[in-house]
Amino acid sequence: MPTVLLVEDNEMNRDMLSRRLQRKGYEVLLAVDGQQGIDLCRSEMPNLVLLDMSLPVKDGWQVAREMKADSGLCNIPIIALTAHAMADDRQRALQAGCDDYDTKPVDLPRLLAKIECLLGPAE
Amino acid sequence: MDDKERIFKAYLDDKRQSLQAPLASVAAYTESLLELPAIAGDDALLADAQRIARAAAEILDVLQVVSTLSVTSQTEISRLRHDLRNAIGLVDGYSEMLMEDCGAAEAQAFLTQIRHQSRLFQERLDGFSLQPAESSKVDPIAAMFQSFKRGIIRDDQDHLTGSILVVDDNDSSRDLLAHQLQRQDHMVIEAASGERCLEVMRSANPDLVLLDLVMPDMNGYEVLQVIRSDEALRRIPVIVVSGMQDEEGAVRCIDAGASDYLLKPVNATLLRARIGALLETKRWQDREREYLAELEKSQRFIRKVFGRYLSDEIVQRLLDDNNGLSMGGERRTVTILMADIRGFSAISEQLAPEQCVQLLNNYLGVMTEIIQRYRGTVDEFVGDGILAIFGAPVSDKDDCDRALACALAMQLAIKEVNARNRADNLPEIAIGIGLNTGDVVAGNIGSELRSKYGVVGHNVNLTGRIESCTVGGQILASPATVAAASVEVLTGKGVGVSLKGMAEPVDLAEILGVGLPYDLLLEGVQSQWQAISSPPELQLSLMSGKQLAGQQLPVRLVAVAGDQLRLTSAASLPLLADVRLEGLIESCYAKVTEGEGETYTLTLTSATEALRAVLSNLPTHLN
Repeated sequence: MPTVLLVEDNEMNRDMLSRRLQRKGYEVLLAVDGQQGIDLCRSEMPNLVLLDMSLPVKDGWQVAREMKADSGLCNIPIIALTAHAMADDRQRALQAGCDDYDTKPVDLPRLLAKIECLLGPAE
Repeated sequence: MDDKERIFKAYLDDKRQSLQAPLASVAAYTESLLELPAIAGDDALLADAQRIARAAAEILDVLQVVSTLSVTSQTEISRLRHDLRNAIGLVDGYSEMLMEDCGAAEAQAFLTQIRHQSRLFQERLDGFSLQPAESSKVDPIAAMFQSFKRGIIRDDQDHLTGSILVVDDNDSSRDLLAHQLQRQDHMVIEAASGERCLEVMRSANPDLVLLDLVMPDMNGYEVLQVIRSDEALRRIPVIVVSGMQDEEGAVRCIDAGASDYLLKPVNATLLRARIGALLETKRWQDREREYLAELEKSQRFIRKVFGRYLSDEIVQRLLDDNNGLSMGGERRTVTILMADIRGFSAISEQLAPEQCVQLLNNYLGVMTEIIQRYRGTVDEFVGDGILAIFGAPVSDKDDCDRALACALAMQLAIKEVNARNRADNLPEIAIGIGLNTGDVVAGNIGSELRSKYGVVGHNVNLTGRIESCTVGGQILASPATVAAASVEVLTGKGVGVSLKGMAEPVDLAEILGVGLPYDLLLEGVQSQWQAISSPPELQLSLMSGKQLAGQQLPVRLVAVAGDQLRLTSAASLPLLADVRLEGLIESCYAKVTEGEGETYTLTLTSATEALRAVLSNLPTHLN
């Protein structure tokens, strides 16, 4: 069962998205800020990170850059999530090292397709 | 607030409402959801439904901010979009999970609606920007026609889909129909009884209803009758579906208001064709209603823009007349009213620019309202001057009467203006009004890009000269105006003056009142003359226009009465001449209003409080 780390500061968003992912067969880890996200990546080595870009303590852009610069973490795929949906958000996310990008509100089938594309289908 | 801001505010309000509407539906459906026993009786489901309610409430809260945005609020809008997208994601996510967790049919119906409205909100949010879309800059009516054309092309290519209410008491046949319709990409709402059908029609406003004829509580005919007698429901097409294989039944249904008739078991191809046809008809009807609403909106716009200058009645007549706004002029007989604040340049010199604007706003606000009340057209404000027309763009038999009454009402309203001025710590003002009646050229003057409705001609210039002969509180009218009046006019002294552009001297009438139906009379505020015991010598200089002309003449101030001064002068002073007086506490301006031998009466055109105090404290004895 693949493990997905969801880094999201908003409590309801965290609850909602994690439960929907669990229903689709993923094990979900939760982090509430960027630093906690990096720490959990080190200790738990998730299969994929869903990274909200506007986070307290350390924002998503910085988390992505740090992870991609770290030889132990750089192989964990990252999907950036932003609610801004600016035209250049996608470009910026990819430049920061994210492997893919999706907008909020999350369209679950679309997000699952992106996750599966990076991981292979969930069991 | 200037026009641009006003338009921007209106645009924002419109956007806020278009975002609020689907959210209000989400909130309403969620409320119903929370009351369902299937939800209320299960803590986990209830918690999720409450989360939807909380997210919806948060969005409605955040939307309040929209009205406070300005054209440059890029950061705020980005923040707003971020918060709204997060919150609507919650509505969407929790409602999907609830649909998976709660099989109760009613809950499913509400959740379907919630998700539908949430998607609508997202579409609108994505389309939201601080710049009104290009299309809104073009003529709204032309834009409507364009959308018609787009509609035709799109509709021919795509299969039309809509929200369809399926009403059948039999669960399996209802499910079957719903299934068929969902496969054709329609959004399906279900109802198991006639009563429920009417409820859903009122709350969800579906595009089409498929109605079973035989139901226990209320049969199809009865439901149809209610629908057709209800203003709000009548325009929703109804297809009757029944197992009764008789033509008579079909006829009865069409008579009762059904749009079409299908027999069970329903053939999928036939169903598709009939629904497609009815949805298309309904779409055209909806567009037509939208078009009419749009037309009404553009009329409201015209009313709003012109309403500032024209009375409601005139705007209505312009709207009724298609050619009312074409360029070009026509010769018309009108009564022209010009009003001016006496000594405004002297007053404005003492004031800061913003005080000056405040003073003008107090004055012009009250006056515009009065001119509209008397159905005049405010043609122009030039600084403190007002040019108003009676008889264009629309003429009436009583144009002249209304102009006379309007002038009196304006003079009477100066009290109110001065009360406002006192409250704002501004000086009091007095106005002079000139009236003239005659032919002018009226029309839209200017270019296509910038034009205004206005009047030009000799008679307009003449009115300005008449107005310049007045003193504060006075109304002077040309003989043509007095002759054209059908209302009873009370005049004071005639004033014979030579006006530039007129060969003969003109005998202007001082207007003191008009009779019924207006019944307006200037209040006589004639103060008593007080003779000054030792008349001081003052220096008088004649002014030609606004330039000082000629040398200083010695005069003596022998008596005062309010703003009127009586002087003796060895040199002859022309009647109605503007003069400057020096030798009192400060120099002041006045107009020569009467002359007999060496004695002249002057009326002050500008007087400060300090000057008035000096005048009233001169040693006098009652005359």
